[in-house]
Amino acid sequence: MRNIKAIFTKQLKSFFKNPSLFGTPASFLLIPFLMLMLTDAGDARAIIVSQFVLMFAGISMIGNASYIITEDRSTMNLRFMGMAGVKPWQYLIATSGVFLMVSLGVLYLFGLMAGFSGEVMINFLILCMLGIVCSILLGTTLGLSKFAPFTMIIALVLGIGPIFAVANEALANMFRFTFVQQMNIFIRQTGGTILEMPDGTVQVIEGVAAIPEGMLQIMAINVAVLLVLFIVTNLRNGLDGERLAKKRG
Amino acid sequence: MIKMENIEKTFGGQTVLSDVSFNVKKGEIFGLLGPSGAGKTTIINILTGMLKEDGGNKEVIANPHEIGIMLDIGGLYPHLNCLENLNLYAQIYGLPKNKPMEVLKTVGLEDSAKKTVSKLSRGMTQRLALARAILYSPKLLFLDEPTSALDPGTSKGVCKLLQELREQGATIFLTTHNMDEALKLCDRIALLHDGKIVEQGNPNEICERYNSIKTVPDLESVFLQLTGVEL
Repeated sequence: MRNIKAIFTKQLKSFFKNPSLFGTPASFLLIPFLMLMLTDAGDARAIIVSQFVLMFAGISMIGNASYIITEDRSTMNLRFMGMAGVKPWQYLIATSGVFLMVSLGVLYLFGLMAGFSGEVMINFLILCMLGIVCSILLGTTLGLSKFAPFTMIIALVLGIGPIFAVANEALANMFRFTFVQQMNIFIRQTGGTILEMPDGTVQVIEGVAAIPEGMLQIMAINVAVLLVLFIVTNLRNGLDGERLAKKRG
Repeated sequence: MIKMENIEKTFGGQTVLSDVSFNVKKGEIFGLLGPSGAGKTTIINILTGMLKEDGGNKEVIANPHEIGIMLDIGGLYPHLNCLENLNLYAQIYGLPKNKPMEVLKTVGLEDSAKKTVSKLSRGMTQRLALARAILYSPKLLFLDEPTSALDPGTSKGVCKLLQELREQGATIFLTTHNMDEALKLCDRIALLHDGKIVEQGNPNEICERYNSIKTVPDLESVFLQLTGVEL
């Protein structure tokens, strides 16, 4: 418990003191806030917010998780912590705890900006927090692997891809089962819309608050797949990079 | 405490360590001396488990949590301040809350406690790295060039600190290319050149053996005599 508390405190301080870590989440919160303040988005609030939620979960959190692991490794701190008796699971719980706590706060603010409350807000938080878990797992896996330098490219593809997938069927099929696309679908469906029909009538489509059938299962599969990837990478390279360093000699 | 027998290490086909053997007794300060590129850091990396030797045997008789390591300026978070860097390990080791500040005073950084690491000079960063290594009073200390970036006055202070740690029972293994420092500080030394140990023993005895015409012990000229290379 002492180890988890010590690392949690350190990671929390690192998050808020390091512009590389809090800069992108802060800007992904600030930009839609300013947009919504300066324009009358009406029913499009949820759609505007969804773009930034995807970038937060897809780009920011993946990048941050990878960054913190890489920093702890390159400064030898993972090794020093290991020598001090810190177990890998303690480090991961403490580090993930910080990301989850910060993400919950950020997502709640996103939800308020989108005009969510009650059942919609709760479902939004549940689904997006599952997405954050996926981001943390993916970012951590990348940070532990030789693909760490490609983290931002992968994060950008995941964060922006679903946005373009709205207008492109091929992209939509490619991203269909990713956690970011599931989040995108849910947020978009919560906002209602008004359609002008060819015959001149107006059709009002109400927003849907419930999580669509099958979506939670798809998210759970994403979590499972990424967890397996993480476990395999950790077993191969070790959290402190010792096994990877020894392989390289 | 430390035993190295016939250690070999190659990198990309190039032999960097060849038949390196020495041992370090409990409670002594042992210095590994040599110019840049001699293989000092490679040896310290092998002893601390960062690298695996390609041949030979090594033994380090200490539990991991009893070992303190100072490798250049590793182990520090650039965006946290000095106190925050030490607090992490003070909490992990269950040390008293005032211990980090005490150790900062020991290395002369008490006035910089709230300064971010990225804003420290190289010498101050080195002292902080040393503070991190000695924070939990380790039984075995590995120090890679602990005074390399320090001014003479601070260097002297660090040497005094290391002698105090030795008196408290710590075993210290350090690397340096400062011969004067090695002469004053170390109980025994090994001279390293091109990955090979060319001489080892008590520094004054080594000087007497090779330097008998001089009145002042001079490890530099001994090294020159043995290797034909100046430091």
